[in-house]
Amino acid sequence: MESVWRIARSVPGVASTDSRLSVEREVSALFAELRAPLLRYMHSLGLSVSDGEDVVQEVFLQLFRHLAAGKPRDNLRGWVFRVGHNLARKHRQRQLRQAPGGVVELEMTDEASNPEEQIRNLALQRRLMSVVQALSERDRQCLVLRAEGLRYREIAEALGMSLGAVASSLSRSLGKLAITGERYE
Amino acid sequence: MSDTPHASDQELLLALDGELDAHQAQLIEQHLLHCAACRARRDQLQQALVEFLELHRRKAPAIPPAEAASARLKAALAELTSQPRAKRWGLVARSLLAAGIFGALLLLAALLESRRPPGPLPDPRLTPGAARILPRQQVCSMVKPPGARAVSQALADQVFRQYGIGKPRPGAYELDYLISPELGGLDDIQNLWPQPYSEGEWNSRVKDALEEHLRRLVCDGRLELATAQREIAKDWIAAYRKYFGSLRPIAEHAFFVKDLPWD
Repeated sequence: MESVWRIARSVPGVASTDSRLSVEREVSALFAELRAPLLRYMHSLGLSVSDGEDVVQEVFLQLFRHLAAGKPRDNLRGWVFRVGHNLARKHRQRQLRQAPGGVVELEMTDEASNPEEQIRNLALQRRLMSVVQALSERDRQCLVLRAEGLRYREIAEALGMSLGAVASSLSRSLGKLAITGERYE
Repeated sequence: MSDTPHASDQELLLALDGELDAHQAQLIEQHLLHCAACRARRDQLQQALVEFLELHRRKAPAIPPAEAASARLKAALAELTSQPRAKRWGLVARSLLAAGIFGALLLLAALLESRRPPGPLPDPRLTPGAARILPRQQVCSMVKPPGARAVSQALADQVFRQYGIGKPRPGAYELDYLISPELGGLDDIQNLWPQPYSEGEWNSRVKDALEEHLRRLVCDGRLELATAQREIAKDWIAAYRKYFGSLRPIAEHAFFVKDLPWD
């Protein structure tokens, strides 16, 4: 609550109630669109869903301030993920200082219909996992953001990369994933 | 295009993801027509992408329904904008909560088989459905302007991409609300998925017919709105069979036109 009031005092005067309401509506709409993808992305950075919810709130309060101040709005999805990424990393670093270790374990389950299919799927997933784990952190983040449906310019904004760097990161990673698939099929 | 005889992985991926401008996309398209090796590589990359999407979904945590988080944000925004308003909005937020107006559905239906292209049922991990309870009069009076496109291009892109469709074929899909807005469905990413427009038996036109039927039942007081929302989100095909008493889509419903496809 304290942080809310701190922000409240620093909100620059917004012209009218109308524009304030329209900013609120816009923030709510983006919240509905991006909360779940953002929570999943932050989970991939090691944040639990409940910690993620706190960070998401902070991100959208910052988005409100950003919009209310009339700042650039041409890549808001990228903006939201950039702020989310930075806050999640800070949060995670604080957690690690307090209680080192505690990596989120990724478990693999399979609900496929029959046992043979399960075994085949699990084997495929293990191969994919080993490739994914061998990627650089940055390449993994690009891939996860692509999986969450972001466009390349949004990924570029989120991770502070150039458009070309995003394209080459994704094609490098998927090229590796495709090669393993081929080798084992 | 580079001067090598084959398209690079990067060029193929940019084309797959719809990230090229029209001219470049056309050049790649033409090259692919004549280069079987490049087509094969493009298919491998597409397959790798779809496999990674599947892996990502399997590792992803369950996301709780949005209504608590959304109410919390509304309250914080209200306090943030101005103090006198805060009281009013806080009251509104509380009464909305108390009245239970926000209801969202998070349903764990049977998971889809892996690596299947979008079919007649959405992936419940991506699209569990999100809705609120509307007063009955509103369900009765709800009229959606014909051909209105409420979903922004950016959101549509995002939904298609989550489902591994970088560049939807024009007219192939309806970007459908799992729970339709007329039944209280929300503009939430968890309530949207690309449904094949007219391919297959259980296509979006058939679903549109079900939505209209359920809306009338709710409006006539013969069905609870919450029940309609739950059943359509859990398995709309099962709901269709139940409410129309027919194992297969009724012929006239295949031609039922309500929503237009995404182009």
